[in-house]
Amino acid sequence: MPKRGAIALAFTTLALVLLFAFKTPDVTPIAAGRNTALVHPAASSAATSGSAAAPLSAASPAANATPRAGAPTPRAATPTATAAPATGSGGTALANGTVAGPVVQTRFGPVQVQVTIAGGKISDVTALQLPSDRQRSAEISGIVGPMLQSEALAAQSAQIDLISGATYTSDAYAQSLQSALDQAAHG
Amino acid sequence: MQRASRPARVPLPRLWPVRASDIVALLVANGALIVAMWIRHGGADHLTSPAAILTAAGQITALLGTYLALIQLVLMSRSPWLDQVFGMDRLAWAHRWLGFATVWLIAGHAVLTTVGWSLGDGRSVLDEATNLLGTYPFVLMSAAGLACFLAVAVTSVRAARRRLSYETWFGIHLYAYLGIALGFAHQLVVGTDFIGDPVARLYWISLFVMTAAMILVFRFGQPIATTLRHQTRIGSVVTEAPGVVSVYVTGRDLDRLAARSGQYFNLRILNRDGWWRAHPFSLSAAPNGRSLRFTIKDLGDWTARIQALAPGTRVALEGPYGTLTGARRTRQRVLLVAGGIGITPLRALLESLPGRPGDLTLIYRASHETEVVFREELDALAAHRGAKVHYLVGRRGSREMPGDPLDATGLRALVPDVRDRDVYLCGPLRLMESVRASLKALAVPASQVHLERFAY
Repeated sequence: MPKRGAIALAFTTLALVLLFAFKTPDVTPIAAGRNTALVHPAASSAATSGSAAAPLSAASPAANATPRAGAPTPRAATPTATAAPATGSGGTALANGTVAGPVVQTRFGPVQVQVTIAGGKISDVTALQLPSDRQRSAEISGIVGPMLQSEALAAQSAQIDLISGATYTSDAYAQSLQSALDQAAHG
Repeated sequence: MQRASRPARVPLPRLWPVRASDIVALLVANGALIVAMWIRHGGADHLTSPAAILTAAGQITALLGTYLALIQLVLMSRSPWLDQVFGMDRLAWAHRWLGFATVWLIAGHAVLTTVGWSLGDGRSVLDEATNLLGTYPFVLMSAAGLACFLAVAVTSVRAARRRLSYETWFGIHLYAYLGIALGFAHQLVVGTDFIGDPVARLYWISLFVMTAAMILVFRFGQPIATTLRHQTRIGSVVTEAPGVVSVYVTGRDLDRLAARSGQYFNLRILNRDGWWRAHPFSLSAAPNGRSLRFTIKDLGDWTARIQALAPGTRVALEGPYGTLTGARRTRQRVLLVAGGIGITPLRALLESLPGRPGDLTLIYRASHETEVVFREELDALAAHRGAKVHYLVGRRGSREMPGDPLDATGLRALVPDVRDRDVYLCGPLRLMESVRASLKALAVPASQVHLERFAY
């Protein structure tokens, strides 16, 4: 009987290894996909600042991609400071107006954030797009959209905490917001 | 071994100030809290479409199914409080029925959620299932966990259970732990109730941590500590009757090992083919501080194997467990009713229950003379303590024993004052049920009847 137990144990271990391995390759292409999506911020057709998107897009995705590529753990994925210094308080002044960030793809759908600057401060943050392809995604977006908005308003920057259970959406939200703030700073 | 000697003073297991109502209240309160959490997070809102209703049902079944799964582990954690309040036999009975409920709920969650989402998305169930398993973090893992649960449930259905050896069944049962562990990650990451709610997450995690702590302490820590502390070994093995052996366990400071007559230990023989399974053994003599005597009847090869054990072989003790003890006594006078090998805990009680001459009576039912064990000991104890012993030997329906000797009439003839006694019952289920019926007919209050199933 212990022999059969040992065989069962070996099979179980193998099955568990396979099960855990399933996740690992799944995360990387998504991260890559997210970065490539950033190369096309021209998709933000709603951009009202009128500044040329092309030169900005070259700078911000590279800066964004570097810290995140080596950090598959969701917790560590909060964007660090990008080429533009911390916005809102000090640093480059933000131009008044409304700026839409780029569309950032997640595995659950696209995320795009629009920021309104008034008096050099972030006066409003609106999600133009949140994942809503599937009912479930829409449901989660409905919960986390307002949370992310109030976090961003409180932080007055894209340095927002990831919301547990919605890490992909929060991450993409922060990315799109950061790019929008970069545009506002340069515009 | 001195047989009818006066029992030595061995410390009694601690009596916990816990009542059944406390435990039930705690479990119900947590269940209510979980439902409240679900409602607060909008679980019961907008139940307007079939998709929404199925999705909501999928959520609540997940929450309650998981909670019930944790309760299952707690019931089987060998916690002394739960043992004292409910007894392992009733816990095991509850575990069996709640176990099937758990698996129904969790399987229901998987089906309801998949179908609910597919209706909401207007996609096929297959497409939705693929999306769930492939896109959502840890959902594939939780599906493997569900498979573990299903395996446990299927092998526990009576028809399947009968065909499996205890060891195979038990081995598959261990996969329930794996199932619970595999489901954990997806609950926190995908579960609607834990999105952006750190308090809910903390509460949920703490439920798992507390359950794990109870298992670690009571299933592992306590037996390991007892075994190391007392360095328990086989003292000797004595054949009492055909297929019935007594095992004397010796060790260090056994006079400090708290145990009561009527209780049992799970014994694990620490040799190559015994370390991985534990067998329940009733104490068949009052703990005397020098050795613990266990007596077991076994029809398999276990008896042969244990008879061959060399004295000095190390054994691990888990316990003591069981509630068939003097702690439940409510009356001065006591009737003990034993059937077959069920005599073991009652033999220990006959030795150690306090009582004046005439207070203690033992009825010992056996279907054949060869099944009567401890006859000399019982006679000596009876003489020493002024107790009465009635041996009722024979097959029911035979010429010597045409009717049930323990029907109401028979019982009253043997023990006229039975209504004013505590009755301790141990034996085969059928015997216990028929004696219970007789006691009921004789208007003996249920609070005076104490029994434990399979605890020998």
